[in-house]
Amino acid sequence: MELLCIRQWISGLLPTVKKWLSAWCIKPVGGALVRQEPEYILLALMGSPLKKIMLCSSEKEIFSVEEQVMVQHSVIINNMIEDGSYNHEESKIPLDCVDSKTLKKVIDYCTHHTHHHNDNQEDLEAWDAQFLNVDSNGLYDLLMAANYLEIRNLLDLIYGTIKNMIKGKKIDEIRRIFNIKDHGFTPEEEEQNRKEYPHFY
Amino acid sequence: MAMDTFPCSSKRPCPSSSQEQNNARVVQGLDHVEQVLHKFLCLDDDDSTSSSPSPSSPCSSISLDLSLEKLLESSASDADRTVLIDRALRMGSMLLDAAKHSSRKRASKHNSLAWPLPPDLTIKVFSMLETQSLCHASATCSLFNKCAKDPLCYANLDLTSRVPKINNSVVSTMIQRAGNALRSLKLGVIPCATPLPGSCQPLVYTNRNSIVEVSNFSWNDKRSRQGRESSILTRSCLSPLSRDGGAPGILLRKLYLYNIERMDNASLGQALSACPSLLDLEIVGLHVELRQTLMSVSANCHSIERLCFESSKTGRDDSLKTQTCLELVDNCPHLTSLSLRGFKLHDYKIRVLVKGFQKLKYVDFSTSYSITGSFLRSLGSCMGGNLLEVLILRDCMHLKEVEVARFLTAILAGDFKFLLRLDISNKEGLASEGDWYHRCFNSSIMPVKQVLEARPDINLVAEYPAEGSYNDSFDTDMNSEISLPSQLSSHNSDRSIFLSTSESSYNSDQGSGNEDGQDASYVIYEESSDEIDFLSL
Repeated sequence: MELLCIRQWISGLLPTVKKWLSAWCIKPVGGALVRQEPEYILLALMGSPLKKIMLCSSEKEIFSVEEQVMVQHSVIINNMIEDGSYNHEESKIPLDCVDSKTLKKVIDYCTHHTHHHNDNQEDLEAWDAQFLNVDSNGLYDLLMAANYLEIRNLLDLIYGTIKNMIKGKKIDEIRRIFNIKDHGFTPEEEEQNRKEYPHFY
Repeated sequence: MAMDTFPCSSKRPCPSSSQEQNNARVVQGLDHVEQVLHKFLCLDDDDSTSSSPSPSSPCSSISLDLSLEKLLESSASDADRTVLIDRALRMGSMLLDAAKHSSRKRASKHNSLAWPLPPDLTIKVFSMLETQSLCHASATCSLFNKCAKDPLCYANLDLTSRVPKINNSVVSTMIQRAGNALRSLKLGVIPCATPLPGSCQPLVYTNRNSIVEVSNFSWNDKRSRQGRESSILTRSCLSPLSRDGGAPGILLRKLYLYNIERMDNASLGQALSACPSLLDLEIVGLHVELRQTLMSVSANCHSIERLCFESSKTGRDDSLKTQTCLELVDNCPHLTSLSLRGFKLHDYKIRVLVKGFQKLKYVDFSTSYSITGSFLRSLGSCMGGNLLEVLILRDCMHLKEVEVARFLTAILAGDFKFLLRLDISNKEGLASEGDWYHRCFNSSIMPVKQVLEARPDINLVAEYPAEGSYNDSFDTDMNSEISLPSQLSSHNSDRSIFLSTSESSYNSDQGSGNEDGQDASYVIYEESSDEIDFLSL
C-alpha cells in the first residue's frame, strides 16, 4: 500500500524531473529500457543523472560509463545492479570474456542508442551499418560480447548481418567469405551430404 | 633397399643421411619410419637419391612406375613380386588415408580459428537461414555441417523448387531433423519465381509445359519401379509428419503444398490428421477433391485461420456439398481468410461459408464457376458478412453484372464498413442477366465511380476489356480474341439502375450499339423483395 502511494507520488513528479533533465540534454528513453517502473527511472535520473559504473575488461582496463546507459541495454548488468551486488563507490564489474577493444565498441553502441533513441529509423540504421563496418573477427567478438552481456538489440543486429552474409550464397562463396577451408569432411560425411542434397550439388 | 625392413621401426633416433644437408634438421629426432617416409616424400626434390633414369626430371607417376617395375624385375620369385605389389597397394592406400586425415585435421583447426563462434551461437545464426542457404552452409565444412543438423535450423522448411527435383528422402530427412521444432513446411513445385501474396495468377503447374526445361526428369521416373527410389515427390512424401508418434506434425502451423502430382486424397487426409495445430493451409494444383480436403480440415484442424485452395482442374471440381460447408463452419470457427479458386461453387453453399465464419475478413473466389454473385445479397448488414475487408472475385465466368451492381449499391448505402479491397475484374466482362454467354460491362449500371468517390478507403479494382470493344465506333485497342456482342445494358421490366453522374466518358457509348434502341442513361433501380426469400436456407 505504501509502495503504491510512493509510486503515485513519484509518477506525479516525473514530468517535472524530465523537464529539468531535458534542460541538461538528457533524454528519457523508452523501448530499449530494461526497467521502466517510475521510481526506478526517477532514482536513476535524480540520484545523479550522470551516475557512472565501472566495467573492467579482460585486459584489466577500466571503462567508466553511465549507469542508465548500460542498464537499459544489458540484462546482465541490469540484474547485477538490481541485486545490489554492485556497490557504486567501490566495485567494478569484471567482464573477463570481453576484451578492451570490444568493450569499448559495446559501450559506444549502448551510449549512442540511449542518447539518440528518438532519432528516426533511417539514421539509426545508417549508424548501425557504419558501426558494424568491422572485420569478421571484430564482428564475432562483438557477437560474443553481446551474448554474454545479453544486449538484445545488438544481438539481433549482428545475427542479422551474419545471416545476410550467408544467405543466398553458394557453397564456395560461403567458404571464401568466411575464410573456411575445404577438406573438412570424412568420406562418410561426404557421402551422406551427396545423398541428402543431390539437388544442391 | 630397406623395403624388407619396413615393418620394424626403431624408436631410437637414427643418424641423418649425410646427403640431405638441407633436411638434416628435420630428419634428426625422427623415428626410423618417419625418416623413410620423409625421404620418400622428398623424392622429387632430391636428384641424387632419385631412382629415375634422368636425374633432372621431377618425380612423377611415371618414374615411380618405372622404379616399381625395376624393383619387381629384381625380385627373386613371382611370389615375392605379388607380395611387393600387395604391399605397394596397401602402403599407398594407407598413406593416402593418412594424408587426407591430416589434411582434414589441419583444415578443421584453421576453420575453428576462422569461425570462433561457439556452436550455440552458430546454430542461432543458422536457424535464421532459409532452407537452401542452410544446405549450402552445411556443405561448407565439418563444423557447419554439425551445427546445421540441430532441430532449430529446420523449424521453417522451404522445399519448393521451380522444377521437380526434390524427392521423398530429402523431405523425410529434414522433417526428421526438425522433430517437434517444425513450424512451417512448404513443399512442391512453383513455376514462377515468387507467388505474390493475394496474386490471382494461377500457380497450377502442368508437367506438359515444363518437360522441356527439366534436364534429368524422365517419364520413366513417374512409373514406380521396384526397389528404385523415385527422384520426385510421391504420394507418401508427407508421411514423415506422422512418424515418431506424430512429433513433427503436432506443432506445425503452416503447410503449403504446390503441384505435387502424385498426392491423393488419402495421403493428404493422413497428413492433415497429423497436424492439429495447423493455422495456415495452402494447396495449389493437387489432384484432390475439395470436399474431401475440407472434410479432413474440418475433422482435424480446428484452429485453422487461413485456407487457400486452388484447383488443378479448373472448373471441373464440383464436389463441394452444403453439409461440408456447415461442418466446416461449425468445426473451424477461427477462420479469417478463405480462398477457393478454380472450383465450381454454388451461391447458396458459399453463402453458408461467408455468413457462417464469424471472423472472416478475406475472401477470394477468383476463377470460380457457377457463382453468380447472389451470395452477396444482404450480406453487409448482418453478422458474419460485414466484417469483410477483402473480396476478390476476379474472372468468375458466371458472375452477373446485376449482382455486382447490387453489391456496389449496398456499399454506397453504407454496408461493408470494413471493406478495404474489392476486385471484380473480369477479362471477358461480366455475365448478363439472361444468358451468361452474353458478356457486358455497363458502367451506367455499375456505380464504380460513385463507390470510388464515396469510399476512397476501398482499393477498388474493376478491370474489364476496353470499352471500345463493345462499340463499333471505337477502333482503338480492340481486344480481338474477345468477340463480344455489343449489348450494353441488361434490363428487365422489374429491375434497372439509376445513373447519378454524367461526366463519365462511357456515356457516349450508350445506346449506340444497342439494337433495342432504348436510351439507358437514366433508369431507376429497385430491389425486389422476393429475391431475398430465395436465399433463406
